[in-house]
Amino acid sequence: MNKDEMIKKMVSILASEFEVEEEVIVPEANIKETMHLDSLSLVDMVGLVEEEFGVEIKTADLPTIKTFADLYDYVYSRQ
Amino acid sequence: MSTADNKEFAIEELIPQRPPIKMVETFDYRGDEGCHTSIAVAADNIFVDDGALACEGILEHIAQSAASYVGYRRKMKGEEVSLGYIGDIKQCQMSYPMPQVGERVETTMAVVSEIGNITMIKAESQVEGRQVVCCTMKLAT
Amino acid sequence: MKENGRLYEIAEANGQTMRVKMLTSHPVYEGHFPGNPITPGVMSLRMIRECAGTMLGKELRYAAVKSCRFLSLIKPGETLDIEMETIADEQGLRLKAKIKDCNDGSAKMNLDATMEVMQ
Repeated sequence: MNKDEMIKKMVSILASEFEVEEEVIVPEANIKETMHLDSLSLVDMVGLVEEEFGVEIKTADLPTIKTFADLYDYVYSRQ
Repeated sequence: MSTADNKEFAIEELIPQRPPIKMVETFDYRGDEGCHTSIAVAADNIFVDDGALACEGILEHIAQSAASYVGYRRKMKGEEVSLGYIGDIKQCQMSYPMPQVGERVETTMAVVSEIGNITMIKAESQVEGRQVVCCTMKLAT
Repeated sequence: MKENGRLYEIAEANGQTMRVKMLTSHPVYEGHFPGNPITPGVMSLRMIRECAGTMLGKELRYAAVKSCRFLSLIKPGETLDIEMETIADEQGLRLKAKIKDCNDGSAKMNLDATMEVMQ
């Protein structure tokens, strides 16, 4: 899957799971703030990415993934 | 992992819960995979209704199984155990009847992920080989 | 309803909302936790099941819990509002409930479950 396809799929899945409009998921937006993630739903997000894209987000790397752009780069480079 | 590598701790050293809500009787550590726990249903258990353990009692047993696991890992590192709270319960199915007084609930718990202070587990509790409760659960410690 | 009068008492019931007062002398608090009484999350699950049952005039049990989120601690002595919504769907009797703090309306617990009527 190319990067655009990956991003489209990710936006759709995240918007559905976390009940936000797809329009608010823009690359420069902060993930936690945009999707109102707390420590519990952060675990769900990591699990969802692993399940849908086969990429494990390592706990040590989490602090570096702040925006959706960070997430896209992380997942795409590890597919 | 051989049993000689596992230190044996009393349940009271692993979790802060005490009677009448101490809901883990046996704890068998299975490394990174998780653990196996059990509890016999006593007539005076606070969750017993009309001779059967209510499903909330099994969920508490599962939560304390997760807390025992986290507590065991901490003790092995020489750290203190802390209070734990259930963060969420999902994908939970109940299969009646619930266990009767005198029966033993056996639970297999696997770790799904650990991020920060949140441990996510999935668990299956059985009585005489029949599943009574399964769920995923997040514990905050 | 075993815990009605022991864990909590119903102060007001208005349609699908009940105001409950968490009682302070339930034996569970001796062990949860010693010197630091906190209502176990599973007991709030029990309380919701009993309150929904009282509302419907039946005794209910959980068939499935799709999602139950505990957002902040519930302690003995607190007064809470339990908002419940029941819908019959293909799985059975769907119960969605929220427990809120009676003072600031902040959410303490959200539940989405399927119930069965006990025979």
